[in-house]
Amino acid sequence: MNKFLLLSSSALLLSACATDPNAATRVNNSAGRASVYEDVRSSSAIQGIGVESQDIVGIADKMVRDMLSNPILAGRATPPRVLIDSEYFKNMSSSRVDKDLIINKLRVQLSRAANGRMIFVGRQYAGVAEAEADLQHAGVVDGGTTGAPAPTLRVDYRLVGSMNSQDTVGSRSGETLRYQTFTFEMLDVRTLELVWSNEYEYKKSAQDDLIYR
Amino acid sequence: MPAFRLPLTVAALASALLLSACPSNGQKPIDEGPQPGVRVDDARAPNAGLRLDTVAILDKSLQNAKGGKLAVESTGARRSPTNTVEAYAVIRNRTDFPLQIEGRTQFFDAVGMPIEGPTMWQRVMLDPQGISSYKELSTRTDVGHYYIEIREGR
Repeated sequence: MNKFLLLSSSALLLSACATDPNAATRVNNSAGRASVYEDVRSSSAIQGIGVESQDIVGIADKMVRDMLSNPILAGRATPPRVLIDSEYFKNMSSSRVDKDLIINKLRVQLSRAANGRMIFVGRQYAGVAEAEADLQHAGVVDGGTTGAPAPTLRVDYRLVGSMNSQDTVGSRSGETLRYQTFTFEMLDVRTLELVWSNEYEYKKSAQDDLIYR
Repeated sequence: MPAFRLPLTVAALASALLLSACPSNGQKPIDEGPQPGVRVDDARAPNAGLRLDTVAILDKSLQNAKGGKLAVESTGARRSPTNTVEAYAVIRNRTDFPLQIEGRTQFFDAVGMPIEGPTMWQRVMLDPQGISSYKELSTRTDVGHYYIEIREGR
């Protein structure tokens, strides 16, 4: 009888091992926490004193609307050629942010809203035209459908600007306060006249225990 | 004969009631499919709905005309030099404390069709008992109407 019981319990234990896949790998097979979509236009539960999505969207929105109300930029019979890239936009602030995140948003929003009132030059992609012309000269590709290679456009105005900040840290509380400014200007590349300027600023305070990357 | 009259009358009335409960084709409606969106048109809710060229205060704590924290002193719009439209609202803080509010605008064409999505929420700081203004520019020139929304800063 004892032998029978021992054999039965061993068989049961073995069968349990064979059917439970977690027993072998020790995988934590729980559902986990689902990711949550949030509104890019509003602050979220995780927020600090750095540059966040609502700031980037707000900057682009404000600058686009102001540029399109400027007669030099958006009221000319011949639309001006503009170059909006981050080469002359400096991040001098203590905020860690990819400045192309701001400039790309600005260029795309402005390009969509301008609707022919400005001509946008993609100087940052200049190598593309040269490479394509080289391939055509080498006989690798044909002439395309938009005509012979043409000189790339000289721009009238170029975006320049900077991000600057001033931090204040409470030595006892560890609370940090940041005054952050974003300055945007359109420079006449022929005369260096600044034909348009605007800025966006904020002051935020928090226990600075977030990592921006 | 009068003995049969009462049951006949009752039967006729019951049939009439049953028939009136059914649609004209005699079939009962089936509750299936999406419901059409409706506009609230109720005398008991005079503020429901969209009123163009006005300022709407969204938060209950700010909006009450008697005890609300904000007063909208004036609102309007004008054309910019490039023919875009600038809408504005002058807002007064009715409290003895500083307030942070946010405003955004939606622009519509002359027939009331929305032509620009709502703008980004723009923060406005109000000093105690002070007046400040909220302004927003359109990107398009074919604007006919505007609608400003105000909420508490967050």
